[in-house]
Amino acid sequence: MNIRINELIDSRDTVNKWMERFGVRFGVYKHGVFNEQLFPFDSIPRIISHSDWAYLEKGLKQRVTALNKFLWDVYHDKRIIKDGIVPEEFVYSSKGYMPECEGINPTGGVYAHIAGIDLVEGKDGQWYVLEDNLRIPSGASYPMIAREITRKVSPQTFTQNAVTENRNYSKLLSTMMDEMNDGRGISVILTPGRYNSAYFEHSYFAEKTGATLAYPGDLFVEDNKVYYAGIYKEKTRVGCIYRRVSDEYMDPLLFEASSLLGIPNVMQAYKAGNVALINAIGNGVADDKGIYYFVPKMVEYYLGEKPILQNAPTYLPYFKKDYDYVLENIQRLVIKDVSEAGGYGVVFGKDLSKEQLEELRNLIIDQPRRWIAQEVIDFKDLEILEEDKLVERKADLRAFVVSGKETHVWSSGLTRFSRNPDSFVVNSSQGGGFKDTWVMEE
Amino acid sequence: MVKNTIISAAKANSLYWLGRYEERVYVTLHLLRKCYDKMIDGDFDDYWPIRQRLDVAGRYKTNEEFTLGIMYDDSNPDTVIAAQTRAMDNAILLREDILSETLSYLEMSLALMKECRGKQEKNVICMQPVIDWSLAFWGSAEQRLKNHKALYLMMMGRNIENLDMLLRFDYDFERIALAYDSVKHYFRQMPNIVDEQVEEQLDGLLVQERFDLGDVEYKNGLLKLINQLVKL
Repeated sequence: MNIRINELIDSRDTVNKWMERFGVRFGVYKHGVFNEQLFPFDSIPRIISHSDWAYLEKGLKQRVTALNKFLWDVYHDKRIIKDGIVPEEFVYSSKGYMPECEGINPTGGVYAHIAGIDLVEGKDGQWYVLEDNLRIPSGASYPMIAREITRKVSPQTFTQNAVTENRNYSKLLSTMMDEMNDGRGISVILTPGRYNSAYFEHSYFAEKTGATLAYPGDLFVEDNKVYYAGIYKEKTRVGCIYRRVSDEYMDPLLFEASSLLGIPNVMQAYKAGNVALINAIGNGVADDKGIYYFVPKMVEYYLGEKPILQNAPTYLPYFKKDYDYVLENIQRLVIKDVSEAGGYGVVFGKDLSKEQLEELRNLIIDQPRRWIAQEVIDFKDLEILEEDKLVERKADLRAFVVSGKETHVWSSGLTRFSRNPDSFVVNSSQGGGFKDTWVMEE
Repeated sequence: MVKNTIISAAKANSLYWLGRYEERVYVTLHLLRKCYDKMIDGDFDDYWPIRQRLDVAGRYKTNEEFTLGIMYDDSNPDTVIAAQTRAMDNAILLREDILSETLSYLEMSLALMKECRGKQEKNVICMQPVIDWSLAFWGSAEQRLKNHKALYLMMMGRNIENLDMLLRFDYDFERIALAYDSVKHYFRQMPNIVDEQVEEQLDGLLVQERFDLGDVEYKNGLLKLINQLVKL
């Protein structure tokens, strides 16, 4: 590929000024104090060739289709458990499994309307899925606005390079919301509020999709229908809620009683089929780090196809063979606590002292179901510009898959990189930055 | 997508207070520029009345402390930066209505204030872009706000703040009557949120024959009523 990005690199400071102008931030709580900070942007894009993307697109569609079928199955027939493909302990002991969702039929049978699939590219060019995020995956707004800005600042870059448009993400979202809404009323994006770490994204999506940004207290349920309350006590029917509030806070009358973020009785309206919830409640059972191990098996089970995308080589200490392997090789594996997210609860055996390794080994012996172990993948490093020097850093890719009546893979994604040369952790909450992701047209 | 046209109580509140605080930024800067000009080479009596009203609590000892304080002291609610921060706090909740382009003028203003504070810029002229961006903000809001009720709420806040500031700074009757007319223009667009009894009282007080801002009781009465006009 002949890529010309010099002008874009030279415009880095201007791009960052524009990011500031548009308030491209994320929030972080440190020691109980909320701070907003700019999300560091690196102007050198991640470039994915047309053929690589065709492969990824096919694999992502396949994976998310299987995950949606799994979710339907778990909350209805449970064939995959009965057939012994996924052990029931992994389903019913998962923190993400919600018994309250048993038998609910979400509009169109879709559970994971927006899936964020985290991938890495190995040095050998092989892509691996690291994680499926099916609850409230965030991050698509950043490459969207980055593209908007880089096109303004360096138009020539986009004349010289055939990059696939990525600003259609809001259209993918609004079409999917319309399909799920099915003409019942308005569509809203429910935010926990200004002090949520992804608040920028919530408000930006509302602007770009034409949905109403709703805050806790704006919505109420009457006769099993959801309404948005106006200043003069007038009300308008809500047909679809793209909620950015966690499952357990969505309905204080059914889940966490102290929640002020949710809508009392929304689950009644949802069960009655009077409102679509995006994503569906209870999806956490499918993006559990333990269930991840079984996703390739789900593809074969539900679709009768060979999985296109590979998982990182993963071991479940729950199985005796894996248990022995993990305890023997703990010092060279990466160990993940299945109940943690956001880059927390991830330890690299190589970084631990003898005593710490022993402590971890004992934790695994005590609660084998709580842990998974993976081989450390030698990621392909990406170039980033640090001050005026090109350096190489670890990076992943969060690809977004939107499912309504059809499943679409957004031709872009959030590339996150670690700013610490010795770290594999790319999460923004832990100081990482981001890049635009270019999918080439030819 | 079906567009929502109704406004929640919380959003109405944010729209109104965004209008008030953004107008406060503009008027405070305007008054500070007037005062600053007089302080360059004027006598104490030339600038003191306006300086005293801008620094009601008497926080700042020297003219330089006063200028820096009114621009950059965010612990004082009467300063430009404090008003801009509060305008931003409300605007950030309204991105979907006012749109990112409109919001960006406030982002730039706040960023500039922080930058100037870092450099301890003493010349008020450094705030000129804030004036320009404030006007651009209003132009952009008028252009882009598709929900007219939302625009009226912001404009109501803007005009009430303007009236409030003109009264506090003892402007003459003609200016104040004009400002009150503007307020009433927006009341006619959204009569449901106006307290009619308060409006009636104001109508009776804001007449040439009774106008006397030297009468402290009269002036405080007006200010109190103005701040009770909108039921939000």
